[in-house]
Amino acid sequence: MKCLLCQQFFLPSWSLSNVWTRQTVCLPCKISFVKRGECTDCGKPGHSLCWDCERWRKQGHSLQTAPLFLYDAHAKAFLKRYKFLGDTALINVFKEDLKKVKVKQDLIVPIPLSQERLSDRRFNQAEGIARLMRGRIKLCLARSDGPAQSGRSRQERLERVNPFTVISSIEGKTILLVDDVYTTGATLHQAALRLREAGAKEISAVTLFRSV
Amino acid sequence: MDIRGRLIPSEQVNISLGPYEKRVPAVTWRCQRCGAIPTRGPCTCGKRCYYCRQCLIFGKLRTCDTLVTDTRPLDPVLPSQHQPLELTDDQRRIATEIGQTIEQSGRLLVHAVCGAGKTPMLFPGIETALRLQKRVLITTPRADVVRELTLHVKRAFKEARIVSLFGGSEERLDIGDITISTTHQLIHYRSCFDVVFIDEVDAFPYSTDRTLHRYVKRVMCPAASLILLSATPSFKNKRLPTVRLMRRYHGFPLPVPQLQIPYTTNQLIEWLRRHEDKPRLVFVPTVAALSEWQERLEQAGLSSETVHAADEARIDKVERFRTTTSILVTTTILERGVTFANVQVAVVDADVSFRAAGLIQISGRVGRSADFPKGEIIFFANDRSNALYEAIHEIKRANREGFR
Repeated sequence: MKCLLCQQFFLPSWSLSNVWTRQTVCLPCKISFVKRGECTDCGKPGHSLCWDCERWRKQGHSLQTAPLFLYDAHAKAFLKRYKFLGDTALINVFKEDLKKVKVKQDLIVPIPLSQERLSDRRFNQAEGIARLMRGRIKLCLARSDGPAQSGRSRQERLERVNPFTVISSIEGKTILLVDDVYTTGATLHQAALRLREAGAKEISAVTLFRSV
Repeated sequence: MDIRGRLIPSEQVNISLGPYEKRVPAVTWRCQRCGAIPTRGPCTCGKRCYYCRQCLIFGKLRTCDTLVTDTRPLDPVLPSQHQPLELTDDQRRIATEIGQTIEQSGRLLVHAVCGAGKTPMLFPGIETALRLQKRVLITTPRADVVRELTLHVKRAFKEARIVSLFGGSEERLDIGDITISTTHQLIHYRSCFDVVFIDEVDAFPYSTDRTLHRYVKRVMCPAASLILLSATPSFKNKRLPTVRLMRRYHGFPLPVPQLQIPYTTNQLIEWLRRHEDKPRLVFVPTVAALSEWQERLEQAGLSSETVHAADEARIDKVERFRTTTSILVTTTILERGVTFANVQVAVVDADVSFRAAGLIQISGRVGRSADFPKGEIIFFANDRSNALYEAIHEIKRANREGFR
């Protein structure tokens, strides 16, 4: 097999537990991603409840976010290739991890891209992640914003006007939001706010990475 | 925007070309740019959309994209003279041979030893080509070699339009009368060069990557001449006319490697101490071994620097090494295309993973300048490998042939 990440040939390991799974990455590449940290709300390493989440809670916007991995240099290289170069097959690196995410919610809602961005990139990276999870996907959010989030400062991110609108009925549903990276949490919290206004019962989130 | 002789994605083209425009689908059952089998991926076009993973760094190509080219002929080539050269008789013999090949649109393999002065030998040939209105391409698999060649060629041809292409160069998608390029950058070009020189044909990755061979093939015009240059041609192709030059330009023989089997670290350190006043290169087989050896030398009180392919400060380090008398521990990236005056070279663990061609090239780093035509090259090994003896045998044979 050829590893998706390092392009080297490797021998897939065989055991009873993985006979039916197709291995796409070699072990050294796989274990180079660092697992999430301790914070119960956002997975940041260090404290059981980080400073960020404490502040969100004080403001009354508590959102349980479960990142899978930490956003280190290796993850950055991955995301650069997946998102910005558009190597969509690369998401299969996390196929098994995403399959294992327990989805008890009624709906999975990936964070959308704005119309301009979507026509530019021609795929939604969050939707790609959501498609590998087990659950019903509903694209019930729309987004209208100008500049990209990545490359902005923390203050700019937090002060931005809410770009999301709910486009279909989600009255009384429990919802799992999906995004690629959790940096300040601004995007996810803004999306959650709109969903809550539209009558969603309970909202939590899953992201691929948590920046440190 | 001029895209004659090039085939590029239609998004990058911002002008309309009218009837001269020719469009081809970007990805069919194969990627039309690099030839790899594409992968299925999500796309807003709503059809079965495939994209190419192989040439992704040059920009994503999907089934719903198109490639555009301009079918008009390129501008005529302007003749240009090179600066006066001093060639030895041997070099002049090869240069006339190259010139004849260009006139007859033939093929030629130039087998010249390391330090024979391959670059100046090309200049008369290039001049002939420009006089005959032929567009010249000098291509090589290594970006470092491209940079060095560009300097040489720009110094020799003051008036000619020279374009140098490598990853991260400013002159993207440009064609000059003389184009110097890495083999990878040829991906955007189609049948536009009449004379193609390939320097270091046996270098990685050109030696193993068939795609690169195809890139070179398709940038050549129907009646193009192809001239291959190498010190260690890995193919003994009988059908390719070959000229051999087994003598260095300064007339001194190639330094023959010494063997030290088996060796201890102390012997290496002692050898390094002996050449304290000269720059010393230490070749190691792997990237992992770099820091190991650096540490060992550190313990013996010898400060050194390391360099490998993924090193960001690599160009700086090599530049610094040119002016100092220090120790540089390196992997095989410095095995070809670099010249250091009065350098002494040691290869540690020469029996592991080094090939004969690589060892010959490494030995060829020594004594390249006319001021210091002699130097020491020593192979430290714990075991005997065929490659070691092959390399020494080849070097000795070259010396015999050169001084017959």
